[in-house]
Amino acid sequence: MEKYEKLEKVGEGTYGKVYKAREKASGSLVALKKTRLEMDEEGVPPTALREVSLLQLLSQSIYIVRLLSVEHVDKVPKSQKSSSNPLTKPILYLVFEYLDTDLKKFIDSHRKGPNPRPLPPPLIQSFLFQLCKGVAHCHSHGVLHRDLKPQNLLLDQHKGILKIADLGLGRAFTVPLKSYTHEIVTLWYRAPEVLLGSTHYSTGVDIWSVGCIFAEMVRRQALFPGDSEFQQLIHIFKMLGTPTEENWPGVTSLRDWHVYPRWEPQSLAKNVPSLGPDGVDLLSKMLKYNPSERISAKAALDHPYFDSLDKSQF
Amino acid sequence: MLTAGDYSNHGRPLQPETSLAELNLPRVLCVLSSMLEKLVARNEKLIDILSQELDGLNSGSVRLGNSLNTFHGVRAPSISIPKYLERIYKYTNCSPSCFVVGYVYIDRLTHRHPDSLVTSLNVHRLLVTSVMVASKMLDDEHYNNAIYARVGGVSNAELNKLELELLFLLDFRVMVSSRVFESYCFHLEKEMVVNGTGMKIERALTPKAMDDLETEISIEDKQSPSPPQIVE
Repeated sequence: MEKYEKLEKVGEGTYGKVYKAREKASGSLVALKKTRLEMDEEGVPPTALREVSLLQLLSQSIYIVRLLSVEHVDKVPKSQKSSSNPLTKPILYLVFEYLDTDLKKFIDSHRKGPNPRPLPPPLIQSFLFQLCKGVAHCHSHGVLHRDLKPQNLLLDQHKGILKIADLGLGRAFTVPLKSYTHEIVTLWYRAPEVLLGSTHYSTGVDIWSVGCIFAEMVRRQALFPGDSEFQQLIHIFKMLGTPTEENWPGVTSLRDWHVYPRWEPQSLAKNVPSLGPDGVDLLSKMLKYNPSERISAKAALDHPYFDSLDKSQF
Repeated sequence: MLTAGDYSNHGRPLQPETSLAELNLPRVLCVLSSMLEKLVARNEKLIDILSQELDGLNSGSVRLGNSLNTFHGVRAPSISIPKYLERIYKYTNCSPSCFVVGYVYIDRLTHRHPDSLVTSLNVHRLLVTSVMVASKMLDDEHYNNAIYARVGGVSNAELNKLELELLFLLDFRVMVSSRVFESYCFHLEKEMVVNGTGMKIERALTPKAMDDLETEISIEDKQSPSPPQIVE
């Protein structure tokens, strides 16, 4: 790790600290994601394992954050420094390209601070297109991200580039497996099938998250800001109406389904007032209750909402 | 800690002639055992031939690649490959897909490091490590390294070391696409036809329940303290 000069701590990742650093040889900035390998009962955390292996597979897309290398360091703890045969603690560093901000910070900077203002519609359009490109890339390689949220979307503000990061909860969905855990995805971006206890979900969980992020860019605040799984469902039902067997066959058979109050759907357009009809149509297709009816990331790229976008730059 | 010879099934000794198929275990274990046994036999025969040729030339012992040195024991464990795979399946609750993917990892290793051979000295450690990594990749709910170590008859510390070694040897390329997964399933099924059991292997099965891990084995060269107990 002598190759890198740590500059500052920039946050906490899924399993350790994240540092901004400079590669001494080239002078280029990198992000170092430190993974504590307390060589105990767990070994390499599955989140780290999945993130590295999925990034090895997906990193050729410019819409996925680039993993440059994995470094293994045996650190000698201070208490062992004087020992002739010190016990070392292994550490993995994931070395990523460095991006200066994320979508959450970017939205926050437009909502509060000295100059509150909406995000420019062409920028929302561009960011959403890049997000759909990245998600389509993941899905075409048989990978669900499962934790899409503004904090996990890194931005290069100067170039107007958005990249998907933090694949720690990602997994392959193409190899036959036991049922999936439903303890995934930050509540606000969590799909209703996951909230209702479905353990056999697919690409639709990511598309729901994309829809929530799309609305958040337009509104500058979360669309469904629930503080518990139950409250999260209530937020969704109050806006989109309580789902029924008619619009979502099988919903009442899901593990955590209860008899909920019958709310009628509100106008989605009223909840994203600055979004035009094409945008509202795309959003409604991303937020369909029935996961099998939700638009795919690939199909979203061809939606009329993006007709005015110069796609040659992507 | 019990030795491999003391290994039992639900407290009843396994008769030597008891086959995996008769125990109602996934067919993938059966075909994988067969393929690995053949691979080990072929590699050890190759080493013998090379040794004899070198003896004739008075030029020392066989020099093979050292990529798999970390996985080498001083002597081969007494537990057979079929019994070892059965043990991993029974006690770790991992899906049968993990065994296919574990085999993919071993195959990738041998292609990335062709001078390093899978032999009776390293096959057990390679198996428990690769299946454990596959389980972390595939199953949302899986046992930790301590349990796999106990099931596999190595210490927790050693298995942690083996895991890191495997990952770096594979350059962390442990993602398996559906196309690759299916091609390996097809390859294993072809092997079953050769063996006269022309059936499809299971693409996904969940063991009914984890049995009590009441027997311990050791594949380590020296007796180590008993691995952690499973807390019920």
